[in-house]
Amino acid sequence: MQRRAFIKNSGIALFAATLGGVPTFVRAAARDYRQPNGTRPKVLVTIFQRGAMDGLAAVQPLNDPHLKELRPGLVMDAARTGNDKVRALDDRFGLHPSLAPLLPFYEDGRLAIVHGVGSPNQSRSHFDAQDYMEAGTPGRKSTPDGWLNRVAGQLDGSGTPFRAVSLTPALPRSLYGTSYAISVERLEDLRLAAGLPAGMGGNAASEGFEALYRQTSADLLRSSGSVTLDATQMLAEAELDNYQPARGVRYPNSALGRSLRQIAQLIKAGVGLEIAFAESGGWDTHSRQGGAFGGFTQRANDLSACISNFWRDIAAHQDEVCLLTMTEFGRTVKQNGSFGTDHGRGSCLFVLGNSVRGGKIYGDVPALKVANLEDGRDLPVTTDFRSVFSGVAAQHLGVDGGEDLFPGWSGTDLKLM
Amino acid sequence: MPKIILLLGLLLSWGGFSYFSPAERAPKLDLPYAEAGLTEREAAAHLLDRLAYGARPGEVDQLLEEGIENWLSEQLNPQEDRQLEAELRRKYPALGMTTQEIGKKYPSAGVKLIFGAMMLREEIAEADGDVQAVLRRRMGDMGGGMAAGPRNRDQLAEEAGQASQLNRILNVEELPGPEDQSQYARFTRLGQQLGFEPMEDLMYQLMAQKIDRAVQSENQLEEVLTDFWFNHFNVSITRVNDGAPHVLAYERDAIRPHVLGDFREMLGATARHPAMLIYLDNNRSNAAEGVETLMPTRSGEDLLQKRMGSDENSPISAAQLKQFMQQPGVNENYARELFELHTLGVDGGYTQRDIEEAARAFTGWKVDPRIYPLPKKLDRLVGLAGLRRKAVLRDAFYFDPGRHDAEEKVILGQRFPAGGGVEEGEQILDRVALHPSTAHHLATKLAVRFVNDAPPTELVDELAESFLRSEGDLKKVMITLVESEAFWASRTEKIRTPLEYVVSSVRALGQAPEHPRALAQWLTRMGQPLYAYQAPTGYPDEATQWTNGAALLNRMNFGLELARNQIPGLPVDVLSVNQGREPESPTAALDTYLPLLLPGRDHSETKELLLPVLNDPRFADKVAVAAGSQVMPDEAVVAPERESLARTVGLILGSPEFQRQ
Repeated sequence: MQRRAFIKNSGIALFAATLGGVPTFVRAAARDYRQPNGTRPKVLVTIFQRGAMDGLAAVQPLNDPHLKELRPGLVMDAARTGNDKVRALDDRFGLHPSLAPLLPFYEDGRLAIVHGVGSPNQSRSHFDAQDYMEAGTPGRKSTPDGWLNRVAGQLDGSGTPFRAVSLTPALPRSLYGTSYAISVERLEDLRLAAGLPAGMGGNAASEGFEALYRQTSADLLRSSGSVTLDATQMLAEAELDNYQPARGVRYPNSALGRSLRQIAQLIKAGVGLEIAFAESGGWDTHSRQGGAFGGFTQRANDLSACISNFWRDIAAHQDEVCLLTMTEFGRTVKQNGSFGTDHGRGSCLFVLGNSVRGGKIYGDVPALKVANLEDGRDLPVTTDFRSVFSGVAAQHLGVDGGEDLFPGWSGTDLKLM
Repeated sequence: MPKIILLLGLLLSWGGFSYFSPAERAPKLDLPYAEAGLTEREAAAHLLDRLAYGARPGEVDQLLEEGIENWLSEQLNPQEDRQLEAELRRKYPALGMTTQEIGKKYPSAGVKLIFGAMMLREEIAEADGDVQAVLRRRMGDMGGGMAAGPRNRDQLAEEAGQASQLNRILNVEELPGPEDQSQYARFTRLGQQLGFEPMEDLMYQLMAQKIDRAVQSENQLEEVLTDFWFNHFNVSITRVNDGAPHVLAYERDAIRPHVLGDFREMLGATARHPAMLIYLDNNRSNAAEGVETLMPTRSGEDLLQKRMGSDENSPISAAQLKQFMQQPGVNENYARELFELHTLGVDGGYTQRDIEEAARAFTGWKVDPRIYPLPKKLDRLVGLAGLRRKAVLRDAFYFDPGRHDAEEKVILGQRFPAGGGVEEGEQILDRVALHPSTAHHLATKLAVRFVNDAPPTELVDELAESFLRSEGDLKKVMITLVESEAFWASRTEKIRTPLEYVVSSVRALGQAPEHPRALAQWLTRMGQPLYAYQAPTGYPDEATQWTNGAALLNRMNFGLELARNQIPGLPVDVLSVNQGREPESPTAALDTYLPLLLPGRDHSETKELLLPVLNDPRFADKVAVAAGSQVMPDEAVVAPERESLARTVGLILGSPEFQRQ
């Protein structure tokens, strides 16, 4: 019984049935994978901002006297000119100046912001809150799989080996599960005989493995081996070494920059990417978060530069792509004694895509007087993160979403598209 | 002289007696490998593949010489390998430290900041408030060079943040602002001055000792089972959470001593260990508001809390304080995983209500706050507070009667009268440890691990029955396993886990790493970062888990790099496996190395598939061109004339056959 369930869910089984040991697949699809209906697949790109982003710094309420009182050293003035000027998004909210590269997308109506988003579970531990968000089951640690893996399980057709890719050294909790997923920090590592440059007779060694894995009598090793070898050929034909981003695009030399650059490569190479995962660290800004050298400022500079360059880099594919950011919780409304903020509850997130009904701030941010704050200190969570994740997955990727995606959840999807 | 002879005689006869005693203790084993169609040689190889991390050169012959039954008997009754243990303790000093000592020496970043500041403040008070004197003493020689190893930007930012918080705490401007790079070094060195070591060192020791043991220990079954039971009672070091410092002691004290012993004892040891108490949140599980507890007085924890939060210049922020604060309210995570994962299994016949009731019973099961690097005075006070209120303090476990829900509970149909105390939790563990559902759950997992991914139900039933009959004696269950025909009939049906693959490759070449850092990185790339499976389920034990994604590709690449001597810290000479004799042709190479690396197996398929490639003149040419070219990338990792042989060995290690066990 267990076994049958596994075969049904397993990406490998699907590959085995459709293309195991059929190397011609590669040639047909290497540069331009199409779905059965002839279109390029849609791509969901997710960025996890680890450490808990201060949503009130990123997207700041403009006319709230309580904010000025609670964080006098951090609040930014919309009336000021120059680099410190917070950029008005509407008459209620302003964008942090370091996020200004995202402003054009908002003005174009393709960037939506959801504010006061978070988890119903009140844990303010990074580890727990990230675990709950990635598993998609707040309060429950035993969920064996991650929400993005369940999304992959709901996608149509068999996909390619590059259907779900995480640009991280190890598979993130979000992608744990029975559907096929790759984690890799550098795409160059997905090369057979990687230790042997091609000029060093590396091909000779790969031929040995080709012979062994494509013809072994062990079923599972033959099917997964063939998929693996197909994948390396697809990448080889995508000529990763010579990748040139679009003109004028300069990715920051940061972990996120390298990840998004490689995600853009995969999208442009047409290898069948549908779910991508990347990380941005360092958002745990307990001290000196503002100012030119502040932790928040630096992370926000990196995030906005990475996203805006990525979006320009994939100019020809923007219709296929939706980008979603997430962070485990927000930070205290009140600044602490070292010009930072401590672990809080609600934060905000960004959704970028051509079909996103953007230029708008979704969610609910009350006046920040103490009586309105969660536990008297934090921005209350007014939107469950699952309603955003489920909505984006359902509306962009066409999966079912809902309770299958988020077990035990009976809320409704936020309509962002 | 006669005296000496007498003494010798005594020693000999005593030695003879002890020689026979293990055989007396271990009943004769009935091993049906012939019935399963295996020769004695295949049976020996099967044991080394399944119950060990693969055969070293010549090990199958040694095992046959010793006798299969004797080998098994030794593995089932492991004697401490003193030499290896001494060597490991020298290389990895944390192995010789208590839970408290580890907690005090390797605190996580936040803990380090809080208590480092408290220690400094204590010193400042003792110096009559002379801040500068203390800082001079502590930091006088800290100017200049970077003491810390390579750091990424996130780590630097975090350290900068901590340093500036330290400024605030100490109310001094002694430490420069975060713009100044040298401050990172100063902060790290300040930590070292206070006796803290970087967490990464501890995480390295943890991973390295596991790889070293797997490669070198003579008690191979104990190592394989330690891996299995750790995964069953999984805790994680992912993102260096607060429980991470205690994972090393957890494996050492709560898992390894029990893997061939009593399941109930292992269950209790995991339940009370800081690693589990923190990982599954029981440390923060308290009687709900208004519920009757055993004792109203304040605990050591409250004292700590009061001390930390008492003055306006408190060294910690509200959020950090909250990390240590105990608030009313039950957390169900441990109770749920206890039933679902550790014992009864998901369909084991319990309800959500049972989870809630059991969670109440485990309220007050906590970590002794003295695992933190408390300033001396506070450490003593916390200990005294524990004694005063008769809290149970055992190793680093602490039962807090003031946080324990003392009201009546009904769990799995059994009534637990009010006031049961810490024994109540123990009684629940008694009850579930030997429950038939638990027997079936554990039997299934063992059969999947040691037989195949879809084990026969009769075998599962036999194992479960053995577990119940022996009241959870795990050695008896392993004996039932090796006495089953299904165990032997499953030759090469399992796929090696990445750990099994990497370690068995190293063992097959007769090597041991000088340092296993690179091996740990390869394991991450193959999908098994050690101790870092985030979910409490542990790694799924199914072949697809290990063949997914980039895992197989990395296995092929690892085989090549290992054989080509490209792995840092692990010098390899493929010729030495064959006592330095070089095969004369590709056919000879395969005929020699296949049986060496894959003893007791049928190699015909691998040979048939590889031979055409190796005999293809293009292969030899390409290799020759490569070996003879002047662009050797990394200074002659392998001698040019061995290049061809090294690649052949790499192909065997990376082959489908070598992935099986």
